[in-house]
Amino acid sequence: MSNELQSCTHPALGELIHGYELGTLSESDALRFEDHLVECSVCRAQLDSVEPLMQALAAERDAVLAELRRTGDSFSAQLNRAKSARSTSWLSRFLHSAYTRYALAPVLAVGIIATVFVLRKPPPARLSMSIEMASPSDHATLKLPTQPAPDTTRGGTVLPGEPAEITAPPTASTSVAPHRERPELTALGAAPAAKSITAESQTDESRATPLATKMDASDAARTGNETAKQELESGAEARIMSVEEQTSAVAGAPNALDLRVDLSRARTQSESAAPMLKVGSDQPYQSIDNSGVPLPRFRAAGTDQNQAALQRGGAQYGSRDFPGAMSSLEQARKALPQSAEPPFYWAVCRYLTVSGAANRDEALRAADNALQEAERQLAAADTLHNWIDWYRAQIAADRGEDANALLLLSKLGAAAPPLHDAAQRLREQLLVKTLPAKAK
Amino acid sequence: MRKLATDSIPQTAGPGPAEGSLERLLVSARQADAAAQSALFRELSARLRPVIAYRLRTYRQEDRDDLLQDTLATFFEKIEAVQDHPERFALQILRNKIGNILQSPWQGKVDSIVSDDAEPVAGQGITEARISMREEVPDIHDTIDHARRVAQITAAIRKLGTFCRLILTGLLEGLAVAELWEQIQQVEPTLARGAFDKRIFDCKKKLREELRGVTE
Repeated sequence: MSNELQSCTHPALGELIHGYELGTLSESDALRFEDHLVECSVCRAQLDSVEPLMQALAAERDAVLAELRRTGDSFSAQLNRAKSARSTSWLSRFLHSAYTRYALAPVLAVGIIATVFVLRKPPPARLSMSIEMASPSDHATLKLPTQPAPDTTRGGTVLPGEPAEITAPPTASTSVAPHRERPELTALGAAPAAKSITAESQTDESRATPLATKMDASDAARTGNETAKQELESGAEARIMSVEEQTSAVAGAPNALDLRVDLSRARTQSESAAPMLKVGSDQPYQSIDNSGVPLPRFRAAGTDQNQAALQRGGAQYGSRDFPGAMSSLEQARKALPQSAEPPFYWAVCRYLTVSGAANRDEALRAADNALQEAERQLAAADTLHNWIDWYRAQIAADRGEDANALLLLSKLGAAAPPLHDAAQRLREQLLVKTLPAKAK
Repeated sequence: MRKLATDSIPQTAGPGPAEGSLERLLVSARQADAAAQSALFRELSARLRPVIAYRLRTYRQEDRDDLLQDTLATFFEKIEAVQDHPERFALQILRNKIGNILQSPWQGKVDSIVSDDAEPVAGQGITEARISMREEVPDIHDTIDHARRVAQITAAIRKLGTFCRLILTGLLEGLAVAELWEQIQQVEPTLARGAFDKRIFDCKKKLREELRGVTE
């Protein structure tokens, strides 16, 4: 414990101070700690030294925890990272030690060489097939060996009634394309054959039919391609196919060029389906914890359609779907041109969404423009007007336009107390910020 | 309620007198020694104030001061019944009063500045809609204020070192110090328990510095 707490009258109880500060103790523990607290001046001094901080932490505890968890910074996640960093640093220290450098390096080198020697790639296997034909007129049946065939290079003649083995090199009329376990698509136009094996005997009668494996692969690829196309056409759940899917799709597509067009379109649709503003992990306004905080309802005069759009926007706002809310409010805004409410909330949504976005300046400008539009549509100064000034002031402050922000804030002198106080705080912050410059 | 002079109430907890001296103050105060009564008043104020601050953290400072005065007034009314440990007696009085406050039917209610009883209905005019927003719009403000505070606190925690981030997150998640110590030992097995305890306080101080101006 700290130097001060080393003289805590009861260290076991003094430990409870952190939980007491954050309000995480059980009632019985809290009572025990309070019994101790009124007798221990050291604990009181500790409590007093960080009281404002811990009060704020306790008040925002749930929201802060939610934000930390949202970005993968929960205690367990941090602990795992710390453990892994520790093991990495231990390994790093070990590998960089002089002993390791001079003693382990040769051993490692020998080990690596031995491993490479053992695991070196075997020479490409010759393809081998056996053809069984009952008579010269029968169709040939091809059997693919599951293991690479031995290097049988002898030539031979297929005789009727006995198993025959065709060995590489294949004749001009026998084309065998090996199946790749993990085909890689280097170009969309390239169509690697997936399990496509065609074999032709020198006799017309023994022309081999395509193998079932080829048919299955082709059908599956074609089916997958159609499904993907359908999904992408819908636009809602557009996704880019994996390499394997693309490969299968290309192999099964009747025309590779068509598919390339489809994939290109799919990408475009997928990108357009993405939110207008990307949500970054460091976006503070996305982490609003609305538990217990009542959110605004969107109400205004107008048609049922407008009402529906407004209500939808309100629900989306409540669930923090700001881009969705913006879209709904945009509809209400178009259908209800005389109301300042939709553009106002549209702008607020926009404002709440912008932090952390790549095009933040543009978004701030758009929000400010929307507020100006709302202001123009507002008949007279009233509560909403004040709030418009408030948000515009915040936007100006965010954009570093302190003078403009102060000017807008100066209009809020007669605003209602909550807004007036908030404006006063922001004004003070801006004035304090500008003080050093004036002093200079 | 009898109001007591609060000018001399210390705002911060300082090193108090030894236990024996508190007992002596009690004895002297019971004998109507004004100086002893004043000293006892100050001492008990300093001891009870943090309990009030943490039990009624959402209450206004004026309300907390009223509660402290009320508690001490009751204490001095019953001082003849106090045999020893005056701080425990005063604490029990305070707990009873806090219990009464938390159970009272009006607790938690906030006076509404704007009285707007009528619920707007669909089809109402924009003027009515704007009036009805008067009590709703501040909610947006509260939400934004709240979001700003959360963002600032989270950013400040992220600025701290690995150890402090870990400790503070663990405390926020409600882990006891013993549990934290168990977990931290896996990461820093050579860390002594005394050093660990000290570093918890250091981390709090670092966070306080990061958030200076935000929480104070």
